[in-house]
Amino acid sequence: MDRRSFLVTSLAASGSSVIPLSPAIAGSGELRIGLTAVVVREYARFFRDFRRYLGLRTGRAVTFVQRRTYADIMDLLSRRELEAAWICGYPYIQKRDPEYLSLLVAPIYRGAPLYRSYVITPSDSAARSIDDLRGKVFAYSDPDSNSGYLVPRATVADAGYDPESFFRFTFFTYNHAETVAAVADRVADGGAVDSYVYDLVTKYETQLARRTRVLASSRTYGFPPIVVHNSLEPDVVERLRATLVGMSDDREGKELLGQLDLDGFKVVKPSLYDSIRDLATRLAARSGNREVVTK
Amino acid sequence: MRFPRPPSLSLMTKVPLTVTVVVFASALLMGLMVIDRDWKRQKATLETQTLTLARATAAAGRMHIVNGDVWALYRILRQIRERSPADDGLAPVVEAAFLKADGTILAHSDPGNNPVGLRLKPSDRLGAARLQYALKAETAQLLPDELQSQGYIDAVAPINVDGVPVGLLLLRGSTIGLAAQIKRDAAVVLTFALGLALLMSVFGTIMSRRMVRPLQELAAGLDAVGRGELPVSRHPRRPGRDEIQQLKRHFGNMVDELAEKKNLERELAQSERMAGLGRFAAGLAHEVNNPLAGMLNCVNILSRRADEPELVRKYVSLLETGLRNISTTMQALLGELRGDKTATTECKAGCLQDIEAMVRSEIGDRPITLEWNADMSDFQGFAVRCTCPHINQMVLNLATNAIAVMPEGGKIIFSSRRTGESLIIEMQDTGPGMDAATIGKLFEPFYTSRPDGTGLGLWITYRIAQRMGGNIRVNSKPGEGARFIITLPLVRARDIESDGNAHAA
Repeated sequence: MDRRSFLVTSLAASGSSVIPLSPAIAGSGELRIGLTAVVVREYARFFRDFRRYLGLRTGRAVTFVQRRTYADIMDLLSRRELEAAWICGYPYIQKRDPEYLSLLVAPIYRGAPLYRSYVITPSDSAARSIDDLRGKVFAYSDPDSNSGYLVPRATVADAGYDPESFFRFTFFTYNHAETVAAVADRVADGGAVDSYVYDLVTKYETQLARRTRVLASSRTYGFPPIVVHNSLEPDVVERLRATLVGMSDDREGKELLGQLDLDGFKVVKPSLYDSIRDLATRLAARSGNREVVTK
Repeated sequence: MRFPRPPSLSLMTKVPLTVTVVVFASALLMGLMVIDRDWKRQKATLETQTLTLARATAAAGRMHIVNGDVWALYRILRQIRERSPADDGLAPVVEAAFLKADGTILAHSDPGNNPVGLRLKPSDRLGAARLQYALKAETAQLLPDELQSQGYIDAVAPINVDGVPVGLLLLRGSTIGLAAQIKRDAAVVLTFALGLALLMSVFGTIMSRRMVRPLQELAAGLDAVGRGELPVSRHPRRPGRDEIQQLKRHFGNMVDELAEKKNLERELAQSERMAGLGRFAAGLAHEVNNPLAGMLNCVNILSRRADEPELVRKYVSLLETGLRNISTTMQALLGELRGDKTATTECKAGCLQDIEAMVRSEIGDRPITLEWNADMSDFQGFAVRCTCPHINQMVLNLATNAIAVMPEGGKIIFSSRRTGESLIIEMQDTGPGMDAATIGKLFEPFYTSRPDGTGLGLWITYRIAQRMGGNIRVNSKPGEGARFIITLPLVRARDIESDGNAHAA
């Protein structure tokens, strides 16, 4: 078993328990980076290497903090218990007053900082389009996920249905790889997943992916970005940004990127996530939900 | 109804067969008892494990039910299903489900057929009864026996929050793995029992051979003894304490003792013969010696007084009488010893009638009563293989003896009759009788209790009876008289004729 297959195995089999890779101890000079379902977990060796790589180049002790949901990570960020986090585009565009997050970089996946949302079904499902999933059980990944929640609900809404009642039953898996497992096991008749994670599962967990198929694929959206807390010292922010962007230029960085199946990191404009903001705004307007307010 | 008896089998077959059957049956029975106990114990363990697992799973799912996290519930079920039974010995879980308190599915181990959010649909009436029972259960428990299905163990664990039922866990374990294991055990036990039985049959055959061989030798020895042979005694090489060896040793002792007894008998017969011969010689010497003294005296007188013709005539006459006595004795003796075979021609039983007069003349005028019961009516067609003078002589000898010993006023009873194919002649007297020692020597030659007797009468009677194929017996006690019984075989008259022809030819 090579590192990559183990990586994805960890993705697919991640449990519900929350085990921080290191305790989130507050203290000056420490760089605490939050992770969610978008990225890999329980991959101690990769994160040890990654921590050392980042630490050596930023001059800060790096700690990765894993939480199950985006909400948990956002909560830690809001209380300044994290210096940075890898979050989804949807939480990024949500309104914070005052704004305490800044866009750092976005991963480059297959040449661009873009990904899609897939709606998948069991491989032997009779469904031909998302319309055929009406009255069925559907698996979302996270209520704060773009590809795993916002996009499929918008798709349903665009088709003229009420996302609240279109499916007979919905639930959250809080992890894209878990959504693939839920659909493969037929717990759900359909599910929404991040195309990046689905591609990883297809590549390294072929048996599991083979029990599912992609029913619908969305347009591209901005890849889940890495954000930093505004209170983080500018020089540290710059060192971190430079380190991430420079990863694709050295052998060690390339190897780490390779384990994530990413090409690299690049600085992107916030406007990359406008399409997600539009989606959220449109959906909120349609459902009359005013709670979700975007920037 | 009576069953036919099974054919009798030899020990060589019976012993190994019995041993084999007993060993096989015991091994099988014990093995099955062990398996039965094992099955019950293991099943009890499985039930405990199933219940424990149900409790633990319910506790793990409690918060997820509160949170409505059906995926987390499903992952719990997936984990307990994926656990290999070999890992922790827990019952392999074949089915598990988290339900809401109203029976709605929250998570099911077979989600394809049991979609989340719908009511659980039991597949049969028993399943419906199970569900009814489980929904009302207030404590974690195994479902009662009447709701259990063959091969499965069903358990339920209700899940409460603050005493309010929010859901329940259904867990179904399987005993199929256990059953398969028991089957394998049973096969091992059966193989073991068969193997042991095979071993025991070989062992039993060898043992029975070793046990039966001395018995067969004993049987052959007993056969030989029955035939009158004395087998060479077979003492066991090593005198053991085992019963068959002891039997063999006793048999050997018996054979030895028999052989010794036979030797003693032979020696005794030899010495008796020698003693009889001695008495015979003594009697003969006495018979000759008695007249010899008188005769020597006569010769002495004659040699001295040969000139007296009167005296010579008188003493020569005496000498003649003495020599004639000796001669008579010798002739009688020689005649009997030669065995006059030519005399055995047939005679009619009727010749007995002539003897009565002879006996009466022997009695003469002595006051002795003679009762004569010669019943000849029954002798038609029969004859005795003898001559009339022989019969007459036998009867007369017996009568003479009786008369001689009879006191005044005694009685003699004669009778003759046919019994079957025998002629019975009886001579009974009221004389003084005899003791056993006298009876023992009664038929020996020269034995006599009378001063004037020759001691040959009864001996001759005995010899005649023997020659005629019959015998003579005597019953007597001192003071009770005596009864002589002569038994002579009768022959059919026509047999005598053909015999006679054969003789003539």
